[in-house]
Amino acid sequence: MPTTQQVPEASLLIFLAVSAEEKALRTACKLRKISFRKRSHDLLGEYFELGPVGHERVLAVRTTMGPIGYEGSASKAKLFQVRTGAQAILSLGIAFGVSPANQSIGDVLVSTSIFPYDSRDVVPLHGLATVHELAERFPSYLRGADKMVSGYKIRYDKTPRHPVREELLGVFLRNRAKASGFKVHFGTILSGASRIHSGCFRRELIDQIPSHEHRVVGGEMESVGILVTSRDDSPTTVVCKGISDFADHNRDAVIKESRARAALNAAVFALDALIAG
Amino acid sequence: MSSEFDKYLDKSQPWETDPLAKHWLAIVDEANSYQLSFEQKLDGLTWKAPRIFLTYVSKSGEPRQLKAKYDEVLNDGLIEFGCKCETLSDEQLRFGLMLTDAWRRASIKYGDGFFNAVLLRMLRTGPFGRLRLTRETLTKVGKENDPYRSGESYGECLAMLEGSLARLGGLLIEKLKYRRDDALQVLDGAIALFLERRYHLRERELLGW
Repeated sequence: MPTTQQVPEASLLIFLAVSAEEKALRTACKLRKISFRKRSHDLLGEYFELGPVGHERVLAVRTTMGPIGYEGSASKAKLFQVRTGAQAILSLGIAFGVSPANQSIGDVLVSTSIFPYDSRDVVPLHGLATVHELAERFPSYLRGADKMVSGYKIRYDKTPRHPVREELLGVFLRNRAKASGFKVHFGTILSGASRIHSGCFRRELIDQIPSHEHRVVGGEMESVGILVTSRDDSPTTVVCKGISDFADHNRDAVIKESRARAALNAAVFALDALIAG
Repeated sequence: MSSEFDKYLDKSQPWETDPLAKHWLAIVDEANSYQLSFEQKLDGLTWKAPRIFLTYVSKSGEPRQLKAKYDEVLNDGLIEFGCKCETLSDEQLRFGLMLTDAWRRASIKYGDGFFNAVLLRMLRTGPFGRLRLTRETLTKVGKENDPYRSGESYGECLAMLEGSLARLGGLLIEKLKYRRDDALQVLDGAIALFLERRYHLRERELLGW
């Protein structure tokens, strides 16, 4: 594969985290007759050159799963943004859904805002540390003051909800009708480093997040890292990911069967929207 | 009609009712003298939020300073009051920020790729591309594909870009009383700054790219 010090300029970077996502984008490019050439740069590493897609000039970058770590989304995002001059970064691939009743595996999620769910306050229950303090404050409420209580609660009141790049979101909104065989859900996407295998945790997480005009539609692991490139007055990022699971005890088995289709739906929807502009 | 409604019916500009703008403009009105400056620092590879500083001498003769994050409403009020920046480079930063806000409508409506293509064609083929700072900065920006010019979008997008430049040029001449040559110098710097920020040119230089 060619190694080059020249990385082409781009207006849009597509970030992919796992091999299924890379494969899906490759397939979608083939279907739409868009090139997908693997390249390498000594400092930046590997990337894929798509060239013009609609009005955008596009490169794709593969990271490891999650935002943190040596090759996670955070480290690559800033370097590729600076080197290519890109204005927008699309986080493409697979995500978890939050509502099995209203969403289906393979539906596509598009972010209207990004909520970093690891950014939170963990405080003692009722603001008190031990049952001794609870007993002092609520003497008629508690018995057995010799027992320790380790209750805590999560607070998200100081957690900012990050805006997404309107230029790119507008492209997806204008072309939502192009989706064929699946629905597109627009809303807030949760992002954090956890691999979630518990429906109970997922439901509690949603319940704890302050309500907003943009309801939560799903969650994933990479866009919180890409936020290093974003200021709230100049956001860069949009998430477009297919639902591969519902972050419950069935997660691993379901993902195995669903990820190829979920990733392909997202890739095809994204490319069709970009082509149409 | 009762006069208690008057205060809701006689203000039409945002800076007339915004608390921050009202506070600053009252000081500008009363100060013996003042200097206005703008700043935006690069911290590693990250641009910090831009800030506005008003250094003034109060009526009692004491030197004081106000500072705030760049705020569009506050800035609009300062322009309406004819508050020029202390230096030309600060004025170029100020108008670069204004241009970023003004051109955002076009980039959101048409998308980044089409916006880039129309903007760079406008600058490279029009008069602004001959001004020094814009010309030099354009050499660092790669070539864009030519935009599709036969549809309505090209004309509309171009009109939005040129209209914003004309509006800012008008503010420089009419409100801030710059001479024509100085006004063009400010716009030249503003466009160069916009391109520098949009294409991350300064960060690239820092990385040796």
